[in-house]
Amino acid sequence: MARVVVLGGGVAGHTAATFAADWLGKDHEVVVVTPNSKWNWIPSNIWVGVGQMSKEEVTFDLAPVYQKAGITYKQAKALSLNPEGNASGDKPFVTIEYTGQGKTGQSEEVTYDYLINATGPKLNFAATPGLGDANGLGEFTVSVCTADHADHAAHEFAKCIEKMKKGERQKFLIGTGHGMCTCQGAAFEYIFNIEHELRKAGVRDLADMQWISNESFLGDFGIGGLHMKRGGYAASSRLFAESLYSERGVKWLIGAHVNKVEKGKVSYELLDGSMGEEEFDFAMLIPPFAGVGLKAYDKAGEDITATVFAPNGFMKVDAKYDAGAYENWKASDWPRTYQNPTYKNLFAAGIAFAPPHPISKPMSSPNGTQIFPTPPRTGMPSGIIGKAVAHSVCDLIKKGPSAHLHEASMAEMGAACVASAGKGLFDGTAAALTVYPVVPDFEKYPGLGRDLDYTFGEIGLAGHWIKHILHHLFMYKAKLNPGWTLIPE
Amino acid sequence: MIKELITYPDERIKYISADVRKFDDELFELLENMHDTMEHQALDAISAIQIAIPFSAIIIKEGEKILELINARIIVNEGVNEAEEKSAYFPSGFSATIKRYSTIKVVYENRHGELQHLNVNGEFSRRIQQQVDFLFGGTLLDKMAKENRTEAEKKLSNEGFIAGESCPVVFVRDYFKRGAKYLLVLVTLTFILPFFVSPEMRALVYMLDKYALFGVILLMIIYFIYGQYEGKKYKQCTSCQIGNIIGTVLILSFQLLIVSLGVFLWVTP
Repeated sequence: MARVVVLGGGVAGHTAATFAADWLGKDHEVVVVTPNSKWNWIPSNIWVGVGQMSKEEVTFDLAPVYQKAGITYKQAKALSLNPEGNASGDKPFVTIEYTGQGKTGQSEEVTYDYLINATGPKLNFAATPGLGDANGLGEFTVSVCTADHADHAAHEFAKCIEKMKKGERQKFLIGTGHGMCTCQGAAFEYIFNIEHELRKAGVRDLADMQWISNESFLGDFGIGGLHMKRGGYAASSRLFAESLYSERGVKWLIGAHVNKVEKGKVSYELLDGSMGEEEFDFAMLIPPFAGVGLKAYDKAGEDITATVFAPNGFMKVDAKYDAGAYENWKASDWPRTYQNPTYKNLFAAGIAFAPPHPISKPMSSPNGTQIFPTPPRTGMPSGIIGKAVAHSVCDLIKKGPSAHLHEASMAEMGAACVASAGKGLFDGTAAALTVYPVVPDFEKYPGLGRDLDYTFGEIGLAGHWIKHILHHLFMYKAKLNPGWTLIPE
Repeated sequence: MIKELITYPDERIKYISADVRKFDDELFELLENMHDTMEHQALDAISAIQIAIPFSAIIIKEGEKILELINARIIVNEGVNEAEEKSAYFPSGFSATIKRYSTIKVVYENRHGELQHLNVNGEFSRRIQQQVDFLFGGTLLDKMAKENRTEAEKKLSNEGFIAGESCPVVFVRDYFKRGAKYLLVLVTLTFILPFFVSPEMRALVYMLDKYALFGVILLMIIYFIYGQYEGKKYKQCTSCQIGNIIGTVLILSFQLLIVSLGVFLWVTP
């Protein structure tokens, strides 16, 4: 009997664990180690953050689902890996520390035959002074990165609406809280949902809306932009976004690295090297992501973290990490199997794998500060990679070490994303985007690196309905309800 | 070398210009060609896409000075104003009132790949914004309100500048969908007839309803097949067409099922 340990119970980890358990059956064991007791459909946190959904609607308890799937569930956080075992044995293991199940604080060594690292990111609030610290979100801003954060954001937002109803003007600052953030799409969704709710509450005229982000052009979304269709015409996402911001009265500031957050004020540096400040009454700033800080040790107990993980804490996989400057980037730099090059029984999926380089054009200010979006690895690609990795691991177990590994390169993968711009059955809007491939392939598609026939977007009420349907569909799938395997990632 | 300027209604202007990745002889040659073309055409600015090269490069005159803006981005804006604009892409008699930012901050690279920036306002800011729009596939038409744009396109068309076939306003498949829906509504209306008509007439209505339901199925099949054809033909026009077609057929099937149940359980003599 082989044991597969999956670190993380997010989109990638949950997908990998549930498919592995389904394919391996009772002959082998699948263990999930995640510090959370609940699964969270993160895309809907946007609606929690404006009070349009409750925290309970976007989460569910993992324990009964894993029990149903025959998965061993350990509510714990992983601390370190020993891919060669230790002095007392050759069996590789991961050291975990419980965060629940009545064993909080207890440590355990969980041996494995195969390990899938799908821990997701550490929300690195500490990277920007005042945005937060090692313990998480700070006191001056809100976040929608977790259901709890979004719930807190909704309460703070409700307070602002109360103040506005009493005639007090409020300034909303939303975007990215560091020069090296990803997830601009989430911030985009949030600012337009806030704007939509303010209109519904009849207080929009008392609100100043300000967007701040590390994108070098509006509509970059961390993927270098795409085409949008609006009013029967195709246009670049920059023209679409500029038009939307203008139409909704949202001011924008881009190419910005937020370097300090204080009560009611952020300081930033722009791509031209100039410094500035922006005041706010309510701010939601996405933090940069980092690896969760797993350590790795060899059999002798020597620290081999740098061998297994990239400097940013994400796990090294079969990517080309020495691609060099922007002009040398190729689609083939991106990983295909997500297998660690040193330890073949280690895989990474979702945000946990170290990308070879960004997707958007890298830019730095004259002061040397890097200001550009880091590559997104969330949502659809995350699920697809999780499933491919689970497939590889199952084949390795069933067919032996020579089994063919399954591939899911982001440079050969399309992705769809639905970005809400306001919730409402009849007045909601969302931008439905498709991009192919996610990572530009400049050799196959000279110029932009994308197949423009499949890189497209459209905004409207139908997009909102799709987003709403997807919410229920993916919650249904994640709960492993009948037919869950038929629902695509 | 002087190159030909692309002009309305040449659709290549809509192509989004790729970032310049290599600052080499090929780029220098492109800049020389842009410069020669700009001088030959007596323009005060030109972007690479105007000579049909989709790379993010602009040459613009600022008084006597000539600036080369590679990979230009507008990162900060202040204020908005409206003014009448012309563009070398459109016929000389064409102009439009366009809203633009009054003051902008632009970052760009020079021909050696070094990051530069400009803080500009007034007419120069307006010209830079027009050129940056070209880089992202935008023309004056994209900055106009939909009604004004339609009117402007009509005016251009009347002057003999006819844009090529792009995305149809109405897809043919939608006529089949509409036909199926009308038939379903018609059949639904017959549900009240059993209250008023004789048993013979009721039998006739029942028979006609059955033909109508068969017609709905036929229209749905045509909608589905023709929809697939149109979806592939106009795949650049909208996203998820095939998904929408399948969704529409599912919704219609559900409606058909409900109406059919009504016919077979209620209208039946």
